[in-house]
Amino acid sequence: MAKRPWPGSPKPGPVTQPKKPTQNGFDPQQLLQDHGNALHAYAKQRLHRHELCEDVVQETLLAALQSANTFAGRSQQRTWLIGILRHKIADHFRKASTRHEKPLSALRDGEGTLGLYNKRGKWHPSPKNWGHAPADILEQEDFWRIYELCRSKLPPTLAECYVLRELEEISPAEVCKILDISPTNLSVRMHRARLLLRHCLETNWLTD
Amino acid sequence: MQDHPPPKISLLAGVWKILTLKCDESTGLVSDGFERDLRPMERWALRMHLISCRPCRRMRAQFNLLHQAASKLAKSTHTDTPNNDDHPSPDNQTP
Repeated sequence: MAKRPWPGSPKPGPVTQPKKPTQNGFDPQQLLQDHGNALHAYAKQRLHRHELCEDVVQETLLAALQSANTFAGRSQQRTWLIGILRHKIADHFRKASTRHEKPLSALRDGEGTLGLYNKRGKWHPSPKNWGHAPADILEQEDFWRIYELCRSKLPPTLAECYVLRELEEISPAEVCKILDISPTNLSVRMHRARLLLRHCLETNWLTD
Repeated sequence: MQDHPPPKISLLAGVWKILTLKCDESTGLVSDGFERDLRPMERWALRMHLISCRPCRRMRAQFNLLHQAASKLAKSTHTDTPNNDDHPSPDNQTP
């Protein structure tokens, strides 16, 4: 095999090519090895449930292999994959939102205020002073640990809004479309999500 | 945003809101401020309320912090490793 080709002999066939599978130059194994963990970590921060993340990452890699010819090399492979993953996550919420749709009233009634206000709409346990400058707080590992914990505790109807709006930074109109909810509903959900997160952070982080 | 304009408020209702805004509505407006531009009446109502209400000023600061935290997280994970915010995503929202 290693013989030097004769002058004028037929060109070496595909056998001598390095083993690079798939017609588009993507090796599934390689793709998974290189990016699997990063994709999973990305999904984990948004979906929190392990098996769900695995599903979404799998779908992403599958979609990547199928549409590998659209990868023009304009961006890095990782960025391209994350782009696909983001769509898969949005798709997941789109499908999931019909399953646990709650009427708006359920978000608005007595429980809607989360017991944070008294009857006259004033703060009942008054919010505490968090003490540090925001820049300092964002440097604290404790803060991020509790933040993740609190985020994972948000009820699914609120979590999906929060992730799409704040982490995926999708426009409100687009989020309404994805989840098939009204702007008012989105506003109520975001308000509740923020109140819950804030409350959870205050109780878990400051007393830690 | 254009296809969902904020709800219209009559002048009277607006003035009433400025005078009577409560804490729960006030944080609602702070939260809405992240989703859309507030109407002038809403802005005034919120401003007046915040002048006199320290808990709500704290709430606003803390909502701001949550927002900052989320966008920091978003930036860091759009590239690769978490807690690494030095590389804003080169790829934006578009598919």
